[in-house]
Amino acid sequence: MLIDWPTVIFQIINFLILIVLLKRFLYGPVLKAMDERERKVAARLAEAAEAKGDAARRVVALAKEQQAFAEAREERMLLVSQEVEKWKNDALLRLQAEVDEKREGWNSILVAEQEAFLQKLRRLVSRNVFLIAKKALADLADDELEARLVSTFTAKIARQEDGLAAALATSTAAITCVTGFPLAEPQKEELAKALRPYLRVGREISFREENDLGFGIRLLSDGQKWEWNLNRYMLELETGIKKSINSLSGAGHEQ
Amino acid sequence: MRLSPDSIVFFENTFIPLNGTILFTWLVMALLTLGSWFVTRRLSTGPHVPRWQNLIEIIITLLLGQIREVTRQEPRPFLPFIGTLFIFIAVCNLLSIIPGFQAPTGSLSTTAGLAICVMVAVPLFGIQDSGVGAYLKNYIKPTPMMLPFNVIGEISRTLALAVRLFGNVMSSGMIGGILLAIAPLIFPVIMQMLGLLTGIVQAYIFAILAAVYIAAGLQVHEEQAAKVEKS
Repeated sequence: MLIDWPTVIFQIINFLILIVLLKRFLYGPVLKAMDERERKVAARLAEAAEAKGDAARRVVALAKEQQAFAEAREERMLLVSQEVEKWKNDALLRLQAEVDEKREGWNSILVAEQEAFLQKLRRLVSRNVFLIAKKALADLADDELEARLVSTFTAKIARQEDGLAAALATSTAAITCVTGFPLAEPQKEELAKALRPYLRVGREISFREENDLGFGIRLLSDGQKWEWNLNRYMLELETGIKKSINSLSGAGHEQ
Repeated sequence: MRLSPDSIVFFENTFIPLNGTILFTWLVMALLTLGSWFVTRRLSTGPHVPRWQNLIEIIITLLLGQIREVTRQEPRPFLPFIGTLFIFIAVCNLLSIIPGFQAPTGSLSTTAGLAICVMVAVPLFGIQDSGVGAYLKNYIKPTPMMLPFNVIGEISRTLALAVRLFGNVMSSGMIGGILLAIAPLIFPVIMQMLGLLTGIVQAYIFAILAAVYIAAGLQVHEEQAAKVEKS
């Protein structure tokens, strides 16, 4: 007989025991480990998906931030360009003001220089005119020019022009005769002789020389002044020359 | 020549025999248990898996996939029974390559015991799945006249299971012995290698047929569930 039934029963029991043993030591732990690993993998996949979602959200947030930054930069650039434009305009205005101020200064200097030049020219012209007139007078007469002036002055006194006699009659102080050139004694006597009829008794005549006076005679008494001077003609000549120069320079500027 | 390790008797009385079949079965049981304990004592649940654990997981995953394909159901409840059938038969057949080892599956007592286990397990799984009445109705389908034939079918397939495995394993060992006597140099090695392949195939066939029989008992439940869903 190939089948031994007690052995069959033992083998059935052995097989059932083996099922229990393998379930305890093999299937249970291995399946548990596999489930645990699967759970971990699923958890890690979920974490990865969550991280991916976070990354996507972060990308969106960063894109928004970048866009906001770009807009802010645009606004800032616009503001800066406006400020630069404003600063440029202000700088131009300041520069224009400085240029105007400097031009004003230059104009003042130019006017001063022009004035100085005119002054110099006036003096030069008056000197030349004086020299020409002096030479002409010297050529025309035999007397010196100062003597001629003194004679003319005394003639004016004699003619009592310009209220001189009345002024001298009311004067209570001494008379001072100021000349721009030295007077010779005959000339001093001629002047004293011409003035004496208008002086009160006891009044003296004194002479004094002032170079600034130029070619002229000035009488001073009791705060009053009477004068004849070539400078008056020089001033008229200067005024005329100045008008001519101004008219010429104005025409030059207009051109 | 011994046809079965049953004939190797170490101790025997009226009720308790201790022959080669039982002894080698214990040996295989001890080997499987200790091996399982050794492999599963430090299981890794992380990405790094030890080599032996990886092998065990591959085998178990393969068994689960096969059971799922055959039963079309969640395979884990059937894994201890069908998986143990495959592993036990495969290890017994593979160890037969060792000189002096007599595979317990070369004993008709062992294969008969395993076939009886399958015969008992089929109704147990069916009843657990769909109840006693629904399972027993399966025997009178399509008509009550089919009851004897169904019962005979149950018995005959159990017998076929036992004899198929026994015949293959026993014949493999016997052919090896005969060739060893005729041409002792090369042919026995080839036949032994063929025997290893045959042993694995037989273990697979036994386990798959057990799964098919169990699945056949579970189909009752599936059809009922389909009818309930339709109604």
